[in-house]
Amino acid sequence: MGRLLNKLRGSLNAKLIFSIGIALIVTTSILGFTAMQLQRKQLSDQINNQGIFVSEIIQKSMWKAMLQCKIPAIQRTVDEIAKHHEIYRITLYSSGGEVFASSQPKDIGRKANKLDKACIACHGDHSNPSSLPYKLTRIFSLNDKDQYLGVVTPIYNEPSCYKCHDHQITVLGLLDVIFSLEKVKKGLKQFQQKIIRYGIITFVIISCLVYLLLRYLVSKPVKALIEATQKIGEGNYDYQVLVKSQDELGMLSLSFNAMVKDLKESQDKISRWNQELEKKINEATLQCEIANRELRGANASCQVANRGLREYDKLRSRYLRIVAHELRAPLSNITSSMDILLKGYLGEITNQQTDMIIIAKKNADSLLDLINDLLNIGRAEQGEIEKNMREVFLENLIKEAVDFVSSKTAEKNLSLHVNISPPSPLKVNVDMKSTGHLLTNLIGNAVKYTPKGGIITVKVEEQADQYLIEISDTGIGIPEKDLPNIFEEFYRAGNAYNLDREGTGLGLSLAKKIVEIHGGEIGVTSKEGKGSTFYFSLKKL
Amino acid sequence: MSEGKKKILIIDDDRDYMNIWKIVLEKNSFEVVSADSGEEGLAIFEKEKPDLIILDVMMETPDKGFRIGEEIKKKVGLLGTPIILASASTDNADIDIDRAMDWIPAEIYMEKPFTEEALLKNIDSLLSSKK
Repeated sequence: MGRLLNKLRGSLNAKLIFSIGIALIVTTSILGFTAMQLQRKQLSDQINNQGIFVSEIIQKSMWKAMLQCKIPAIQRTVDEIAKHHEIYRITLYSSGGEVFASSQPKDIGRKANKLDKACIACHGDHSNPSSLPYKLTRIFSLNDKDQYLGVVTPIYNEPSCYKCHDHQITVLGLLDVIFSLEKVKKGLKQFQQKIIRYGIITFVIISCLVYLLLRYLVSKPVKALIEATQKIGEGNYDYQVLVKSQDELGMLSLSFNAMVKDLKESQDKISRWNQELEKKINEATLQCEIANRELRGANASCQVANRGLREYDKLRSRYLRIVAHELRAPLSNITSSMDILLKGYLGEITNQQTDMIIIAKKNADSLLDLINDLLNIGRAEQGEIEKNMREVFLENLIKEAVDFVSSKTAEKNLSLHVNISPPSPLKVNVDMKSTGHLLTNLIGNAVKYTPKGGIITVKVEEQADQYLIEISDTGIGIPEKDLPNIFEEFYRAGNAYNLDREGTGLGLSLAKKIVEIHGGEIGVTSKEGKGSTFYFSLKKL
Repeated sequence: MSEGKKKILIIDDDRDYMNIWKIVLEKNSFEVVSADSGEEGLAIFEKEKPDLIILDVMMETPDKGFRIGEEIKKKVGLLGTPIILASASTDNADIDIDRAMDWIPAEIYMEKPFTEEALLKNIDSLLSSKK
């Protein structure tokens, strides 16, 4: 059942056939029913007329016996006629309502009552006022089963009757003949069966015809249309639907073909545009590729150049250190030799000789300072400072730096105070060499720029997580305009350069670098002519 | 006081340097013997039995100074002659120091150039601790 319903839903043909089938069944049923009704009416009219006719004949046949008042002869005639199988009962009533002859003997002598239907035919039904009088025929059923036709024929008073009856009386009696309708019923049944039989045959034939017609007129063109849409869906735009009919399907095909034509034109246009677009994209891609190749080439050159630069940078740093190192050994020999001379280890020298040796030594020391700066710049650039950080006691570094400059402080008669307030040990994580150089550099500067008899103070204070190291002097100080630039590479305070040719302009920038690599800060406060204070911080360990 | 003079052996391939420090140390009342190669240094060490050695780590090749130091340490045995390692700063100076300290513990490392005062102070401390 479900499959049938599905098919009904899925197929146009099935839907049409189903609808037409229903229409056919309804039409056939109405037609059959109408034919049955007509047949019934015709038959009943026919049987009525026949009944009336037969009743008159029966009356006529008994006419003579009545004129002679031969009741037994009438009875005999009644009995004879009643033998006919289509006649159920014959009853004769007198004008007084008494049954004087009947095909059923027990009725004879019975007085008619209100329930006798034969009387109702003329006198009406008193229990039902609307029933019409003077209806000579009636159809009724007994035992709710068989149907009968009752025909009432009045026996009128005629001149030939006047001999026995008063001529003022109109009706002398009544003949009631009841016919069995068994035969009629059978006939109707046969007719009904015939109608159903022919109805079914007609239904089947018409259905087949409708099916074939639908197949030819609807299914085929629809299928053709479906096929066409599929073909076009596959991209075959040259396909045409061949439905030539003048109906809606034909029109649908025509407009479909027109639509396909439009579609084909649009498609052609699009593909033309596509081709143009593709061509343009290809051109652009080609140009991109060329540009890309050029870029790659440039990039490769850049990389080579970069590698070269990096190698050059490395080489430069290395070269710097090697040169500085090779310069330092002979220079330290020179200074040491001059120290020996100055100390008089090799005998007394004149004052002029002493002055000359001091000049030579001062210049050699400047060169050593420069070389030490260069070495430390190289170390900073090559990441040696970070690599070599370890736990060191700050007070030892300060002591070493102070020792290093001790001979110079003595020469200039400077007093150098070291004031370390936090308790030992002052642990810091630093690169020993660069931090040592930093301290030597700052203290050395103080010594360098402080006139004879001046005071230099090295002070260490504890601040939260760091130590603050301060180196103060009572030297020449730094002009205010120079202060912001003092830590820049190759910058030298104007007065420092003019007063004294020592110094490279690298020392303070290197000091800043070293402090920053250690995560600290460096700064200076100064007043020209009064002195300077350099300070820097180092993280506590 | 000649028997009281301490004998110092300087091993360095820089003859000028050696001579400078020879004069300085002699002026400071030390007896100085010198050698400009490791082999010679070892030989003199055996012969002279110095009280202290100043050894250049960077002699010829960086390792050589250490090797000589190690040899001397072996030869010295329980004598425990103190050694001052001297070296010019190099790329691997810090590593060199570590290695030197590993091989020849309890000695003093001095970076060139150093001052007379610093050297004398170190010599004094080593010799006094030896006593």
